[in-house]
Amino acid sequence: MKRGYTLIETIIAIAIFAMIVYLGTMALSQGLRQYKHILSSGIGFWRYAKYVWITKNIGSMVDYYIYSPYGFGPYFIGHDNFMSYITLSPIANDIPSQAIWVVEGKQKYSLVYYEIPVYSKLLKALQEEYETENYKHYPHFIILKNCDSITLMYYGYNLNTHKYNWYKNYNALKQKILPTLIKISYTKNQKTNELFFGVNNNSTYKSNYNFIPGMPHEE
Amino acid sequence: MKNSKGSATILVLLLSAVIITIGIGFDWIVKEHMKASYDLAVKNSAMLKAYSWFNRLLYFSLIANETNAYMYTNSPIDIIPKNKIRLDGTPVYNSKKDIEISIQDTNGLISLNTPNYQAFYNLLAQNTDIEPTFFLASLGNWISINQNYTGATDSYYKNYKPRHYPMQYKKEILLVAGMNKKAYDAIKDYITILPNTGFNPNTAPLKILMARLNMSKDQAESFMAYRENNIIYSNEQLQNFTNQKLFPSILRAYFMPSNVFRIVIKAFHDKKVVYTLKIGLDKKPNYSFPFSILSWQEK
Repeated sequence: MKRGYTLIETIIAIAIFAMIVYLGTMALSQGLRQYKHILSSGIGFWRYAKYVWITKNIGSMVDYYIYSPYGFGPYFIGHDNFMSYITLSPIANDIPSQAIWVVEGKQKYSLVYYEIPVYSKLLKALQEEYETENYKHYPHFIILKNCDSITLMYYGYNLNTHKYNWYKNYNALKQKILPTLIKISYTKNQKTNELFFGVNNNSTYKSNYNFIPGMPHEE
Repeated sequence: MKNSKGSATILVLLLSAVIITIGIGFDWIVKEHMKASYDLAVKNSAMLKAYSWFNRLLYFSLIANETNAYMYTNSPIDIIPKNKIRLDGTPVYNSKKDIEISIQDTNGLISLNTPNYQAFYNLLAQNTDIEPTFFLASLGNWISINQNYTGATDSYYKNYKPRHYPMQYKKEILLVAGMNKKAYDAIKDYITILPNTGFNPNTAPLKILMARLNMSKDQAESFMAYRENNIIYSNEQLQNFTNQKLFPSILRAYFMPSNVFRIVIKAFHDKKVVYTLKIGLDKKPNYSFPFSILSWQEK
């Protein structure tokens, strides 16, 4: 006499199958975790990938001239926990973008990069992006996380003293030239590290905007 | 007994399917990561090579003798291949052929902030399907303080507004009414955001010769063949190829380079471009450097 499987047989088969799938998934996820750990701590894949990208992004900073209370100058605002500039090599967009770096967190800190297409924005619109925290609606990228402290500093040329110096606050609209180096210092697991990134643009060519009669001033 | 055998077979099949799926999935993920790691290593290597060759080219350009058409040195050491490079964008390769370098004098191009409107009109008409008159009038309104042109004015734009002073990056031209991506791609090698000081027929690419000097393609090609071994200093030499003359002016310099160059460095891997540097170099010193980097873009 032909008959199908009994209910008990089917239940047992499904139970065994579910258990095997569960164990298999556990094994796979454990394997992947270990593999990712090797990649991040041993080979440091993502760390290196990030540094390549940051080098490119900061290195391609452009002297985006806009009018400010200090006259025409290149857009770059830097503090110890924030910086913003325009880059020709953005990561998420294919047109030049405003980069905004922010130190976020209360007890543990992260350094987060945001990117917004710049179009033809002037100072007011660029400032509004971070003053209203509108940048949080745009693509972002976590550069550092779970740090005990993160500090940004800037090395630049002072056109008045004709000397290079390190600055905690750097306003290129006032200084009239982009910084030469950006230093990111961070402490994590009781170890302090410093990262340096170079800005290639060293032009003061557009400072002539300040001497062209009738150049438009933003309201 | 028969039924029990059936259960075991199904179980074995299911088990095998799960194990194979997990195995293949893990293998795929590992391979993807290995490929990404390899690509990163290739990119890193290409980036460093490109930086290194830029530094060589920068040193070369600062010490080189300059004619109206090329730079050269008599150094016994090869700083760049043959220690000579033309200023018309002709590429030069290293011995391994994995680096390409080129220098383009901006006087051989159309500068977006001080365009020769007739040449720009011709370039657009000959190479794109956009309406040059409307676009150029809109461009005039975009970069000038007063909106005196008949093209698009402020009210035309919705998501952004015209700058009314010089453009700050090359792709800004895509924001101007009348321009589109296809047209931009067709002319992007012939326009620049960098400043120029006049026009230099020694360094202009073929399409600029056609647009600026009203040459036919054949005339421009024979002119380029002539300038391979000759430097053009005067309208008399130009007259052999075209009726167009360049009129000397106090404000503009003709037949000579501008001292501002567009440098392009490409790093190859397996004959594919993996890293590109595009640099705007002004050979004039600024406050703190013996040269100025007017723009820098990595891709």
